[in-house]
Amino acid sequence: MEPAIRIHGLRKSFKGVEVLRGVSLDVSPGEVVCILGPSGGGKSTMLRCINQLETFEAGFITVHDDPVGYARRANGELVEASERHMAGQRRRIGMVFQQYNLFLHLTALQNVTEGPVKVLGQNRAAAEKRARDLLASVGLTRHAHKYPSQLSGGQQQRVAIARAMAMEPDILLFDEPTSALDPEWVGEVLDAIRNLARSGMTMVIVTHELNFAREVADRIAIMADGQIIECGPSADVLDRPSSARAEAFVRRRN
Amino acid sequence: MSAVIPIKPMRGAEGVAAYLPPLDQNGVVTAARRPRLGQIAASIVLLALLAAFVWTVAVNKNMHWDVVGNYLFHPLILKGVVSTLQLTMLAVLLAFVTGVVLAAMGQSRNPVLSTFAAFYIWLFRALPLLVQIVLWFNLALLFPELGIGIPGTSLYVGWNTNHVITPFTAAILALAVHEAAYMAEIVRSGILSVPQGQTEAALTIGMTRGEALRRIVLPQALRVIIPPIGNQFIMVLKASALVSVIGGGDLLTAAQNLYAVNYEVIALLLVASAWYMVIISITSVGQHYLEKRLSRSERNGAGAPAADTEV
Repeated sequence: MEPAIRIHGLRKSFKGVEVLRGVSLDVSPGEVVCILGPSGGGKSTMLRCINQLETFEAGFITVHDDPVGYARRANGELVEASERHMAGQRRRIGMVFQQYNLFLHLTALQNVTEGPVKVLGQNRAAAEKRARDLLASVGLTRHAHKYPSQLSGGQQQRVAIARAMAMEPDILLFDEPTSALDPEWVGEVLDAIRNLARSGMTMVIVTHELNFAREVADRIAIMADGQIIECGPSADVLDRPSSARAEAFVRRRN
Repeated sequence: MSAVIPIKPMRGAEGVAAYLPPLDQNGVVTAARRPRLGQIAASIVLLALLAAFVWTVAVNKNMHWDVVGNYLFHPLILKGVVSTLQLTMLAVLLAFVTGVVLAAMGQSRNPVLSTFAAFYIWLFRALPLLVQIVLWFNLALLFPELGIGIPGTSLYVGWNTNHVITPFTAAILALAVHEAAYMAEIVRSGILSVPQGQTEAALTIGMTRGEALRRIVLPQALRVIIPPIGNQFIMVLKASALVSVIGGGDLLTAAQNLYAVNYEVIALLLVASAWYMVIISITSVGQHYLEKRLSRSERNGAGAPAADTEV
C-alpha cells in the first residue's frame, strides 16, 4: 500500500550544524507513529518539515504521493510550489503545537471555525455546528464562547485538536502536545489523542510520554543526533531495543 | 484625621484576638489611620500656587477674555476647526494605510521591498516636517506639470501642478507622507509583538503568509498599535498648525488671519488653543474606549466573562 507519509533522506542544518542527517520514515494510512528521543535530536524539526514550517536541504517528503513544497507540471517535472499551492498542501496536514498557538483574539468556537470558513469557504452556520460537535468530542461544550486566556492549558490544547480536526486533514502531526502542560492537565489531552488514534487517523506524535507511546502507537521511532536510531513495533522498541544507544535512552526514561 | 481601618480577625485565631482591643458590634476591630502630614502640606502648597496663578490670569486685563469669548464661535474660527479636523483625519488615515503597506514590505523576504521600506522610513523621518510642507507647496517649481504616460506612445494624462497642489492638498501630502514613516514603525512593532506561533498556526490551517498577516496577526497587533496611534493623532493635530506657513486654511491660519486685522494676538491664540484642547480631550476619551474594546480577549478584559476552570 502507498504510504500516507514518506520521508526519504531528509537533511537539514541550522547555521552549519546538521540537525537532520538523512532521515527516512514511511507511515501507512491509519497508522500511529510516535517519535521519541532526547531533546535536540531533531524530532520537532523533522515534524515541522512535513508541513513546510521548516525548509530542508536534501531528501524529499510526500504526503499521499504529493511531494510537499513542490508542484507537478503536466509533463511530470517538479517545480517549486507557489505560496498558494503550499497553503493547499498544508490544509491537508493538521498540526497541534507544544504551545497550543490558539488564535488569541478569537473565542474557542471561532478558533475552530476560522479555517473552515475563511480557508475552505464553508457556510458559517454549518461550520459552527460542526465546530460545536468537535468541541463536544473533546469535552469542551461549555467553553465554546471563551477566549484562550480564559482556558486552562489542557483546555486550550483540546481546542487546538478540534481546530486541526475541523480542516478534515489527511494526516495529523503532534509536536510534544503535553510538554507545556501542568501535570494535572496531561491526562485529558492524552485522552483526546487516544480517541483520535482509535478513529483510524494517520498520526505522527513527537512525545516524551513513553507509556502513552507504548499504548497508542503502532510503531515507535527513536531519534538522536539527527537520525532514527531505532524503529519498529512499540513493544519491540521499548522492551527489546536492538542498539545500545536506544536501550540506554529507553532505560533512562523508564 | 482619624479615619479608621477595619481589621477582620481571622477565624480560628482566638489566641491572637487576645492581643487586640475588643470587637465592636460588627465584629470588627478598628485602628486609627496615621495622618499623612507631608502629603497634606504638599497638597495645600500646590493648590495655593495654582489658585494664585488662575486668579492672576483670570483678572489680567491684557488677556482680553471678552475678546476670547467673542471669537470662540466666530464663523472663520469654526471653519478653521473643521479644516484642521479634516486635515488631521485624512493625513492620519493616509499615513496609516501607507504605514501598514510599508510595514508589510519591511517584513517581506524580497530585499528590494524591504530596503525600499527602510529607505522611506529613514528619508521622511530625517526631513523636518516644516521643510516638507514648504517643499510640497512649491512642487510646481520642480515639476511644472504632473502626469503619467507610457514612453514611446502617445498615451499621456497630465495636470498643471499649481492647480493640483493647493495649500490644502500640499498640507495633507506633507503630513501624511511624513507621518507614514512613523506609522510604519508603529505597525512593525505591533506585528513583532504577535508571537511567531500565531503565524505558524495560521499557515497550518492552510492560509498563505499574506492571509495569516491580514486575518490573524494584524487584528492582534492592533491592540498594541492603537495607543501609540492615538498619540500620533494628537501629534499630527498639533503639527497641522505648521501648515499656517503656507496658508493651509487650518485653525491657526484662521486665528492669524483674524489677528492680522484686529491685533488681538493673544486672545485669538487662546481661542485656537481652547479648540485644540477640546479636540484632543475628545480624542483621548475615544482612544480610551477603543482600547477597552480591543482588550476584550484578554483575561478579565472588559466584555469578557470571568475566567474559570470548570470542565
